[in-house]
Amino acid sequence: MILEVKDAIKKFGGILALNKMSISMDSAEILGLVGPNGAGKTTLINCISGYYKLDSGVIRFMNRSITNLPAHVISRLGIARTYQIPRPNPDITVLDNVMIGALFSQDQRNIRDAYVVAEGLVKLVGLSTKRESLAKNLTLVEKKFLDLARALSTNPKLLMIDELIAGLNPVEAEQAINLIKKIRYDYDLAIIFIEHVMSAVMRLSDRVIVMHEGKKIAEGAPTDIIRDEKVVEVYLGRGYTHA
Amino acid sequence: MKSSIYSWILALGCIVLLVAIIPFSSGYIQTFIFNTLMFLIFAASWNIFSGYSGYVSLGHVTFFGVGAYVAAFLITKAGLAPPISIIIGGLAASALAASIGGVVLRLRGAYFSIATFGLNEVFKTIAVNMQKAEGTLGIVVPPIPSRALSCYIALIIALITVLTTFFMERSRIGYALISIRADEKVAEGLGINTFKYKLIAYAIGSFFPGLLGGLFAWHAAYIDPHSVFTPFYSFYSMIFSIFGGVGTVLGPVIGTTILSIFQELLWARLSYLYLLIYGAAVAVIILYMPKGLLGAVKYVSSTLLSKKVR
Repeated sequence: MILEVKDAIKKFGGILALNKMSISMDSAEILGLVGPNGAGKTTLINCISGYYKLDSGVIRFMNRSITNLPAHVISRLGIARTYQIPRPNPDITVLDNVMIGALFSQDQRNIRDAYVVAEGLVKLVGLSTKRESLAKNLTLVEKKFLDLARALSTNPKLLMIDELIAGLNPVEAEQAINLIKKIRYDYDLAIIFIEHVMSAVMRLSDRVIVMHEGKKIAEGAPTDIIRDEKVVEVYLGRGYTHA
Repeated sequence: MKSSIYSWILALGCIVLLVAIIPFSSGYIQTFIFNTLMFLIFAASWNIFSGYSGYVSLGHVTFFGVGAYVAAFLITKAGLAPPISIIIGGLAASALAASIGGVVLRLRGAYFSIATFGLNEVFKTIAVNMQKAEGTLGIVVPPIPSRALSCYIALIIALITVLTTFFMERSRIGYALISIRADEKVAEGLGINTFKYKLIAYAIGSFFPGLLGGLFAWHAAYIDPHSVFTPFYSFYSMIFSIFGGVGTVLGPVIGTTILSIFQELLWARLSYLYLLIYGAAVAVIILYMPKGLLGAVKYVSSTLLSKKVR
């Protein structure tokens, strides 16, 4: 088991964003995280990456507790993430953005080696022609891929992708799906991805967890999930199973 | 890349010229050179932490004052040689930054600025009430042998400050700071121990005003709390740096040089209107060139270049 979240509770004022949420994951597994807006998917990622502190509960990563450790420590232990709205450093180049992630990873690379890693990753996500562009001049889609390359530059063992495919056109979505598959095999990663595009969830996930109001309401193989009564009720809607 | 080589050659030329003219200059010119170098050190050292990280310090002069007092004490009470006292003053300023940084660097935005500003008033008040330091009477320090020597020492400190910035920008510290400036939370998520790098840069950036404070005490032969803890030096550090371009190696140098000359010319000719014109000019330039002179030059040259390619 690479990741285990147990009875995680996160409150924002009176709102329970995570209400005794538990998940566990094997290494090299792709876990799809779905659910309606406000279900707590992004909050869960924020808690795992150390962005938020849990109010109670335990998070274990590779057999050690990472509950409420600082985000930079968690990152160096091997958990990386992307952001729903990409957040590259706008004033530096694509290559520099990725290089910085490699520079501060647990591998203790020097600057020259970090650039070598960055070049490879920029190429992998298809931004080679834009490597010297300032990040602020990229399109939204390019920024998403930059965010992904930067997350990979930290050499993670667990990658959390927050909505990569939503907003992409069909060709780009196809590229994204193939890219995630390639990353999984080439880098031997466990991947959690939050996604609203169900066709992508179906194609990529080994397992799907459905969240609603801070809780897990269903878990299982993608084909089982879409038949689950509760899931259809709160998230997919009646039309989906018949479609 | 080429333009940066030219600017370094230009900078080297200016240094050689300065070294050559200092001994032959009048007292007025020497004082002007010393003051300009002093502000240059203020601006360039402010830039090391605040310019690169985006944490706007309004208490930069604190380290100048502490350096001045430590050096003045060591020279007058312990009988240490001035150069050694100056260096210890700088180290004391760094040590102070490392300790108060543990508190103020946990604050962000305006809260950080206000805290640094407030702490300076605290240190000023301590100096005012310190009987051993003669309180508001100040300390008389045996004067430096010549004004030219002041200029040369200031030039050396300025050079080290700029070179430190140059090497820091290309190191892990520099990359950590620009990541913090862009988005501190994201920087943390990339594995950057943001607090550690802020503290290191804050301590480095405080060393130089500490040195400068000691040199000032020796140069002016007299210090008192109000002259070495005056917030105006903090403001000028920031203004000169922003004017030239924050987060760049040469921005504060260019900003200080141009504004100092401008200020001197205005002051000599329009003694009544000078602050009005000066303030308006600075405001206009900061409004229209938010990245400073250097940023504007880079923008213009890059747009011209990209048009040529097309």
